[in-house]
Amino acid sequence: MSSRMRRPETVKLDISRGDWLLVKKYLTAGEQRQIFKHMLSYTNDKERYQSLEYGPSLVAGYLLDWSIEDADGKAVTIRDQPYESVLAAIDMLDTQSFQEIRTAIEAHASAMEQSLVAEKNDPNGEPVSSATSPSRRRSAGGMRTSPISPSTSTIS
Amino acid sequence: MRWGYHQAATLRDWTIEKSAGGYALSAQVVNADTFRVSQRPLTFVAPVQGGSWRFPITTLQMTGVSLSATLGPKESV
Repeated sequence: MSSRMRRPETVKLDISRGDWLLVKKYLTAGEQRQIFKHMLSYTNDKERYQSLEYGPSLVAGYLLDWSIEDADGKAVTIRDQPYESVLAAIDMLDTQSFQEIRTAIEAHASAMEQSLVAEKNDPNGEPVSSATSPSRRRSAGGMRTSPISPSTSTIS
Repeated sequence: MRWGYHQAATLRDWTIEKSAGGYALSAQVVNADTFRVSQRPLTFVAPVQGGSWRFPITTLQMTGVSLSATLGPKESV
């Protein structure tokens, strides 16, 4: 039986100017819901999603630590800080830096999603045939498919 | 107290004393996530000015709201 809960792994992402981000490798179902939960606002008892909040919410949902410094060269500490403090720090970034960080995290999320799809197919990289599909007879000189390789990432 | 980057428990009134095997932690549990507390390895994170101190938890006992643990050497940043 396979496990459906993952250990909390991290990945280090390098960005420009020698800076780095430490992010969660995967989000749990609860963490994904938190991202959307922080986009919710309520107006006259109606639930509304603030699409403008998606970017900061996504970044704060993945981000664990970084090397960002303030204008005085002092480290901006976000490690082990509450979500709201991380969000406040993200909001203080200049616009280009925020976009760069958001792009890096979105690329990471996309890569991890693809690796999950590949893993779901088969841990060995071979597509798993459906239980209902008939087995095919091999013919001489038949085409061989190459195995699907999950994307790799640097684990810190 | 953390399992990886997940918050496993919030502690208060904590004290750390040097002991033969490393450090002994005593604390009161404010709240705890049952699943995360059951996972290993756990880390004790003590907020200090400018950052935090992190110690690996080698043994853990929780009785009601009382927690006692032995800690390994402080992790370098």
